[in-house]
Amino acid sequence: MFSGRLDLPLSSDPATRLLPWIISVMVFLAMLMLAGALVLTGATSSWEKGLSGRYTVQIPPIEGESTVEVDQRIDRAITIIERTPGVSAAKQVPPAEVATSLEPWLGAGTSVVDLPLPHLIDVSLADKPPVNLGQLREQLGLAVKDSVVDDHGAWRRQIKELIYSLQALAAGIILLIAGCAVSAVVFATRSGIAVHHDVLIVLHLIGATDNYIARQFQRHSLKLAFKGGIVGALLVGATLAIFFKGVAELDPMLMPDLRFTLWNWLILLIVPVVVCLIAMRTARATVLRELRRIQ
Amino acid sequence: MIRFENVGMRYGAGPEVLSDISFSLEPGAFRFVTGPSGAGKSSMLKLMYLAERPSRGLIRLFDRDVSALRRNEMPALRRQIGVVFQEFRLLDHLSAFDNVALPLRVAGMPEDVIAKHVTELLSWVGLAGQLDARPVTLSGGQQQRVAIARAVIARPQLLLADEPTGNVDDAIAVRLLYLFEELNKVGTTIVIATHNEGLVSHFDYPILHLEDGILTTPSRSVGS
Repeated sequence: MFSGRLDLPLSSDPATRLLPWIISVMVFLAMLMLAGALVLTGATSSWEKGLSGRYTVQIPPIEGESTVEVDQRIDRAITIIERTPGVSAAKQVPPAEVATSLEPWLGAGTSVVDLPLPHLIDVSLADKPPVNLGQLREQLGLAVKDSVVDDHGAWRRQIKELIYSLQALAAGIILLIAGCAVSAVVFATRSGIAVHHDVLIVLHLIGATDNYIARQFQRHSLKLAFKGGIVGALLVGATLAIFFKGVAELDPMLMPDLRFTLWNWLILLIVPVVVCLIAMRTARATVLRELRRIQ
Repeated sequence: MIRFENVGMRYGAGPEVLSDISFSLEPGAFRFVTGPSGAGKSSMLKLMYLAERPSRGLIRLFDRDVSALRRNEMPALRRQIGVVFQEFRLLDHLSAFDNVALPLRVAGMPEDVIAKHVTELLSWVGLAGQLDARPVTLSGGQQQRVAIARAVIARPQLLLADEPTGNVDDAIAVRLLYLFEELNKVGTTIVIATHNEGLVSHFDYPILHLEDGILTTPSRSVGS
């Protein structure tokens, strides 16, 4: 890929010496941004997936109500829910499970018995037919006073909006970084053309085509971008390893599902490859444009 | 091969350095271009090796109108022209071998063929032991031979030399001109610009004499 003789002494150019470092920083930032977007998208997606296909029915407590009365109200609600077309199962969330899920915020050992927490019914939906949510709400409202059916619609919409915003933000920042990389390569290439102007003239006069000269620059840019890409990718690998090691040590109850799959790694590795291609194509386009000005 | 018709040339907005130049050269011709410094010899050669364009008049090269040449047609035409530049214009970062190999490389010749031809030619010009030497480590005469080797390696149909004997003593200069004569015998058209009229007198070839950018009749003969 990098073999082939250079007729131009591009390796000794002061303007291109910094290019691998600039590109490594660009690659590092772009990969980090992409990794962040992938992790958050994965976490929010799994969250959203967990909420889809489920409803939660809340039965608010009534002051002075006995345990038997509570159980009766819950059973009545479950019966109505299970009869509803499109529902595959409905079961009460055990109070102990509610207590456990609140533990990270309230502290271990805190009794939730005295708190006016609603009783929860977890409803699983079948694929077909779709549940008539309005009818279910009406029937539950008549049978169980103050019951609330939460289809998590607002949450899911917000999560989807968050995912789209994150993706748009990541894409915007990555485009900015790509723009900076292009500018750096254009500057280095123009500088190389200015420094080696006399050599370029000689090459032209002995019959070198613009493509022949452009190939020399693009090969050199590819080499520098490859070096920068490797350094940037290694830095990102190290950064993510440290990050996920830290995440693994945190309480999973407090953390969203932060995972980085093999696919994520493969997507991430596209960044240095794309940067190499950008560097190569930019150098080529710059040289061809500048050479047209020379003669 | 070459035809100039009322050619004028100026650099930028400056005065004309060549005025109303008209002559033609048939394939296989050998011409000296003489005249004092500043007469326009180098400018005339630059027009021939397509480094400059005329500001007026017509130049035909290899039966092509130079003014009508498109950019992408120039390299092929230039590969038929070998040039020994006045200051050699060797590439300092390349070895003597790589300098001479350049015309073959830009023509896309395979490396094994390049190695064979370049080694042979550098041996022939007496630089067999200097293949890897950088131009800055070579004497003026050696650099000149590298420049000449680079100009002839691709067997051009037209060889242009701008003061090729400027850096060597007369004995070596005469030997170099015999080398050009040998190339001319195998069909290469040769045009040599020189202000050394004593050297020119050793040979019996027609002369294009320039005075202040105008082609004049020299004391001996005029090629036309």
